[in-house]
Amino acid sequence: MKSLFQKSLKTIALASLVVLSATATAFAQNPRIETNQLDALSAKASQTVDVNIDERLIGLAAKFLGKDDEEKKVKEIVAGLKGIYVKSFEFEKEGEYSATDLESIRSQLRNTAWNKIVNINSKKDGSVEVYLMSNATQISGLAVLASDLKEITVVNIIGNVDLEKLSQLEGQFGIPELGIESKPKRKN
Amino acid sequence: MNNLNDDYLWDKTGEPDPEIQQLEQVLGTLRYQPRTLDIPAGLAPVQKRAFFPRLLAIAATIAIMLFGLGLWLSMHRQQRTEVTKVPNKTTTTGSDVGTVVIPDVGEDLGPVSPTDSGTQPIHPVNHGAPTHYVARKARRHGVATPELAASEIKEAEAAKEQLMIALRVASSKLSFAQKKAQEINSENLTHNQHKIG
Repeated sequence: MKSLFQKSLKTIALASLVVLSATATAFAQNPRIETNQLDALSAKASQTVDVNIDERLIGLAAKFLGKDDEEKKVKEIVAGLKGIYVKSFEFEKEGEYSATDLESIRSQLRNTAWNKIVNINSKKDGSVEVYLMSNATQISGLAVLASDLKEITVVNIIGNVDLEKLSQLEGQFGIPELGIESKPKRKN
Repeated sequence: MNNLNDDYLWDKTGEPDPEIQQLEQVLGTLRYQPRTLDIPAGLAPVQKRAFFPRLLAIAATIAIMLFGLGLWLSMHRQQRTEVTKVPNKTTTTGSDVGTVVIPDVGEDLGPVSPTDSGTQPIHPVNHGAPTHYVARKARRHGVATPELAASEIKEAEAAKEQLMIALRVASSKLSFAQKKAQEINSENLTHNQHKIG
């Protein structure tokens, strides 16, 4: 009887471990970044940009895209997206945000699901970190964390971000040049 | 009853059985006895229905339909009025948003970021615009939106504007990262060339 009890206990413990690890993995692979902790900064900020567009709103907005070729391109780009979230705070003075604020975002991007593809640190121009989450076949999320002395910006795009198509948006609708160039084709 | 004469039972021609005769007498009181129908004097035959109640029913149905139509029209008109009276908001997306300070989408601004975006507050498209105007604009945009309600059209336009803002910010930051990366690469290349030279 004791052996049966022990066996059951082991099975339950193992099952719990599996469930926990599966949950943790699923959580870790969620490309959505939590940015609500930055909301307190809006009180100090002189300018705030807060855009939260989920899949439904993207779909709704997409119905209004397609007027011309450029909008059609935008429509194609957003077609694979499940959410676009942007938070940006600009301050009058330096030091209005703390390193903890940055760390609260960075800690979420530190798990193995995210790959840091760009890390720029400039004393003059601030820093920009670009992260990509991808599975075997496609990108599932993009995160950009940009900061300088008077500004902090977090961009989080959920879904299959087509960088090549995104690069085609350069210069359109006032969108500046991204400078993302497609890879040159190799000649045999 | 033991020596039953079947003929009596069949057509009453044989010798009758006393028990059967007794049964016949007992049950005979219950047999059908035809009699004329006595209609009570107070019960008058039902008269044919008058035409008027039928007309009344039709009129009542039409009145109810007209009332319903009127109610729907007034509600529809009220809804349109509410859409017209929507106050200016900074954003209309999912969450409460503070002051978004990015210039209008239609303008050609060159590099845009929240930092250098100027000071004019963002206004979602067609604040307080009448529904028919919004719908007309949607048609002008070549978007087939017959299934969209007025509120949805407004929401969609606001979402579109938000989408463009988000793309601007995202692309400006990516552009900055890209340019910086290129600068660093070119600096390293120059440095290496100097070393080799």
